[in-house]
Amino acid sequence: MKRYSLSADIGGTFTDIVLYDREKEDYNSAKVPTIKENLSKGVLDGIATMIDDFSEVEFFVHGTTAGLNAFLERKGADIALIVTKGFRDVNEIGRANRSEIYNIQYRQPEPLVKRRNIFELDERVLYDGTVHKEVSEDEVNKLIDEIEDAGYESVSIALLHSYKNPENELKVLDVLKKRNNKFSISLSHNIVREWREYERTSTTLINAYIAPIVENYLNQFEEQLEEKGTENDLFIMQSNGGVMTSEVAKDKPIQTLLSGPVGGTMGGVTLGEQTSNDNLICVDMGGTSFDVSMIINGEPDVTSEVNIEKFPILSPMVNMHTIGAGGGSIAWIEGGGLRVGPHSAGAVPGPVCYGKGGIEPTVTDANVVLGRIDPADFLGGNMKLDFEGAYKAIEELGKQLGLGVYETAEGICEIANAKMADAIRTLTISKGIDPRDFTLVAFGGAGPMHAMFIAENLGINKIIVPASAGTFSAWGMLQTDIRHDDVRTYVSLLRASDEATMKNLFNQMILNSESVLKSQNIDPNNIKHNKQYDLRYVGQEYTVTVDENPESKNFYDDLEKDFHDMHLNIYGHNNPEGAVEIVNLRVVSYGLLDKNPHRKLEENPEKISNFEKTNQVFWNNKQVDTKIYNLEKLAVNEELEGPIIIETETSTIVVPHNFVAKLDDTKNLLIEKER
Amino acid sequence: MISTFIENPITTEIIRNALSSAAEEMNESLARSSFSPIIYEMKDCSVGIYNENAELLGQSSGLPTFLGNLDVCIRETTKIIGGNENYSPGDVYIMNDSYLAGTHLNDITVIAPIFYKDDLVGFSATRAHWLDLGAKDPGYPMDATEIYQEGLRIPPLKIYNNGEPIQDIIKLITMNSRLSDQALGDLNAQIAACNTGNKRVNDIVERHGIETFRNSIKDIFRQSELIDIQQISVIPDGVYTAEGTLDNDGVTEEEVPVKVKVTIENERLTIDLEGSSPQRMGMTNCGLAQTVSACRVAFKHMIGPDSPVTGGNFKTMDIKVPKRSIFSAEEPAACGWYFTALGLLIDLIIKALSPVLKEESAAAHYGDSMVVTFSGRNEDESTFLYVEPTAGGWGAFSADDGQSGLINNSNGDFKNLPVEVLESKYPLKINEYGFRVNSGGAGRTQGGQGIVREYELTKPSNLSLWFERAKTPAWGLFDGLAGKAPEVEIITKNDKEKRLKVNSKGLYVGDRVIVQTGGGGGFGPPLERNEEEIRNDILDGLIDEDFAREKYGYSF
Repeated sequence: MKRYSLSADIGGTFTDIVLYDREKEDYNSAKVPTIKENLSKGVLDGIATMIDDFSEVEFFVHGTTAGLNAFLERKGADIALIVTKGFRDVNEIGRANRSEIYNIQYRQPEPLVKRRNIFELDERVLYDGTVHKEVSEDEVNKLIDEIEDAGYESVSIALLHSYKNPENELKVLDVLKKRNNKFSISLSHNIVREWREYERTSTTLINAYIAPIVENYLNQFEEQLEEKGTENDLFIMQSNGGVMTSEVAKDKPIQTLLSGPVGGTMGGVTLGEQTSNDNLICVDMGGTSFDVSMIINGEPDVTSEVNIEKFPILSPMVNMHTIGAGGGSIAWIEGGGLRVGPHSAGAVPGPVCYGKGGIEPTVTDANVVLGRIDPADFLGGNMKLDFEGAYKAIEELGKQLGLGVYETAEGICEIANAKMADAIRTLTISKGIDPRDFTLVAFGGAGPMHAMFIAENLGINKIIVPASAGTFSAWGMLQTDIRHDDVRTYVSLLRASDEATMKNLFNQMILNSESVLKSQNIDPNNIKHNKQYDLRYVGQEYTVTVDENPESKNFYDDLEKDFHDMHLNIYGHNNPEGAVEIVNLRVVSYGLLDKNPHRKLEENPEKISNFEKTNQVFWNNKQVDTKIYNLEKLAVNEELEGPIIIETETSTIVVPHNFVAKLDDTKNLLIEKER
Repeated sequence: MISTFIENPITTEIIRNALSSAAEEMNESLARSSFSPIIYEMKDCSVGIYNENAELLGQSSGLPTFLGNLDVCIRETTKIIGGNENYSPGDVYIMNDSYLAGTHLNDITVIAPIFYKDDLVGFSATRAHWLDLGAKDPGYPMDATEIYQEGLRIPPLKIYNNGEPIQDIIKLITMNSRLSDQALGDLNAQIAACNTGNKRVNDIVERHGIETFRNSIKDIFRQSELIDIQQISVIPDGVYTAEGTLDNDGVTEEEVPVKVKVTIENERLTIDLEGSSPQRMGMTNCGLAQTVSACRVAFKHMIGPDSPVTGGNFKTMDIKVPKRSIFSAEEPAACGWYFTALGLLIDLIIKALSPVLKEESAAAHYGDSMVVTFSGRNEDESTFLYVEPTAGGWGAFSADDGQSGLINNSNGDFKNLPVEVLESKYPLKINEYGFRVNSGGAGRTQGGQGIVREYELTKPSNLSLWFERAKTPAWGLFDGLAGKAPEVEIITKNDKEKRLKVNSKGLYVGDRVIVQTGGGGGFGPPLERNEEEIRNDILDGLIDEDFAREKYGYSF
């Protein structure tokens, strides 16, 4: 095996790189500026600061934002969409709902395809899969003439009931292939074999929309890697928590949408194993974002349907809840009262202290004024902050409220912390979880600055700040396996379901998954399949995904019992007498990858932690001489009492009064509330 | 301004956010533990936390017209039991009377006092739509002429005493439902939500102390009041009016007029509904409490939709409603379709205020109700019932065209059923689902398009329809033109007819129903519409060339 494993996570402002060096048996990380115009150059330049020999790279995982950015900035491909006659507007009507109930000027997001680019085909499959009207080759040819003339890059086909019987979609594909033209083609039943025409169409379109951009980007990236001497496959982080080779990613770019943030959740899973914690709430707080995800019983909380920018996507993804706006939240006055958020200063202009033209005080400015962020030493001194600007902006706000500058600054932080805690509590309650049974994992540049306060608000006593909190998502990418998901809609009463049909559908999926995994050089011995059923009570809309127990002897009884139990857990009630319905069958397949050992730090009872300096920091409206430590120089297992501040290259850990911090032998900071 | 506040603004803001979040949690708890899809999916429910004077502290609702309307129920209960001193910890009350709560009998309100130690500090309240409660027909009827046909009427009744359930009353209520298990499940969910509210308020009071809690609440109310005053004061003084009409009340043929007069005087805003129809024989009547709520929704739609409502809001807003009118129904008026008139009322208040709130206003949307219902028997003799509120065009506004194919105001965030699911579950085939071309009103910005939806029966079924606004189709504003009115065509083997309201008409296999919903109104003079937008709409097939020529004077 070669010497290095590498991961890279591209953020809006910084690119994080984590390196595992087999010779040293240790991790190393770096934060380099993101080069917007040439993302891959930024990554490769960053790597070059850490290693000399690219040919020694065994495994490289990349969290890419190419697809997500193209989608968010609306810079995707020109798509033509072919649909069933009579259903041209399915994509634009969506589910016709109005999510902002007090807004009379509500607009749905602009569709990815204009109405003029949607073509109707006179064909029809019925709900039971019967072909009611066949596809006419002549009609398809005529449509394609039109589509070719207009010069589209890509064609999507989403016909009614194709999840049940894809015959008509395949027929269109046949005709298209005969024509030998060069546009990329997406069939809805290939992208997601699940019912609900709008959701399936939306998923297919997003995939087609970002496909050329992701492909270009990855090709370019691979070329540059090759030039530098790397031979092995490039791996891409998927939204579902696994990885895939870049070849697979080019085919299913939709799986790259949450490529970045998901790394943090997967890091949380490993951290949970290291520290024997099964239940974790992961809090990733950057300058302008605040993402929360959960790990329940050692497994990441994955959902099979998400909404991004109000577009539904039927594809398994780690449940990533974006709440609040993090350090960029603006403090302002309404009706004479102090408010924090929901508006954010974003990365541009950013907080006042960034000195990029921001004039409204933010949470980050408050932290600077309080001395919790050292303006001379932000991000290891990589960015100088304007203390004066932050001070004046907060002083001005305080005057309007009749408060002093430090009181205002601490108040802004307190309000922001309480709000974030409230949002997390509401999230856990909706899942039937008591946050007090969980451990909080805090990472991202600003996460460890607020984590203890948030935990205190939630009644959580244990907090973990991982070794490389500022680059944790990238670290998490090195702790994963290859994953592939597949689905078939099969609607039937559980008790009346046809075993042969289900077996057949499962086999189809398993065969397909195996070929995808083998194409990624996975040894068949390292392949693991997990069969799942989306179940519900008859009459319900939402389903609960239940794993098949391979040991089970009474298939129906066990599955039904597991469903009733899970329903009780999630919804607080169940109905053991109720009829249970199957909606979808799923297969989750893993290709297991080798993991790197985690080197243990040696405990040395002689060694004590020395602080670097003391700074004037405000706590409870009092200025206190506060010790500032460097994480790298802490002694293992020594208990340090707050208030202290621990700095790392990439983040600032604020440990307030009544908390005790301790570095464990895997270099994670364990923090507990004193009882 | 600062001097009017009592408490530290930081503590006040933390308490304000915590109360909003506590209401969110109550709503999550209700949705999570309810048994009915109408609650856990359609979110036909609302919750609120109130102080001991029944003033709102925090609320969360799934439908806009449920805005802060539970205080009336608390006040009435307190009056009936003879004052706050007669509440004990662990008491729970239930009620649904339309003339008290304002909505239809399916909406069940449950309230519980919140005690911190020995002090009454507030109330938690929930309202949720029960699928069935004693109406003459399953769910609710379409043709009732008296409230007694619509279901069981419940005045404020104690169902828990000191934490102990009063079983005979609970049984009396739930056994009047065709779905009594579900009714009991939903009742328990509502009580669980009240308990969540109780617990969270206790946490907040424990953390900050009762005096700080009460002082902060006064400050929070003062903030809300100041926001209202700031927002109303900038509207020019004057009297602003608008009127429209419902097609009929579903039982008799006459129109149902609705009149609105809004008066602005400094910081005061008065809405007077004088001249609106006396209460009617059909089901378009509404209790006063819900009318007040709808007026507040209209206010909120135009002014400050982002800031959460509290007991400090609406203090400078007066609402005058003629007695025994459709907006202040009294016994024995039927109230099942109360929201039909409210939808029109909200649109009319917006219209009345539009001359002075041009940027905040929007032309009328296609209107509320617009419901298609199919019912019949499955092969196993069980009943199927498919109720579908249909989408339509919304009104254009200063900055943009109105949205096409969007659900109406009173249905909030309701999602339609996918065609693939609908066809799998019900004996219906959908032949067309798309925009109704040329249906949006012309204007500088154009009204949204209505939709066309064609249903074909694959088994014999009964059809019911409740459509509206043929006589007052979605109007335009500032010289914008009206959208098209709705049309529903029923095509049977030997016959074709156009109807908007139908009660249980028998149809056979192969019969078709073609629904065309209304478009939204246009905004601003059509001749000012940008040529590129007209060309784009023609390219996209949303309007045709004739429409462009006729309405926009566009020449090719």
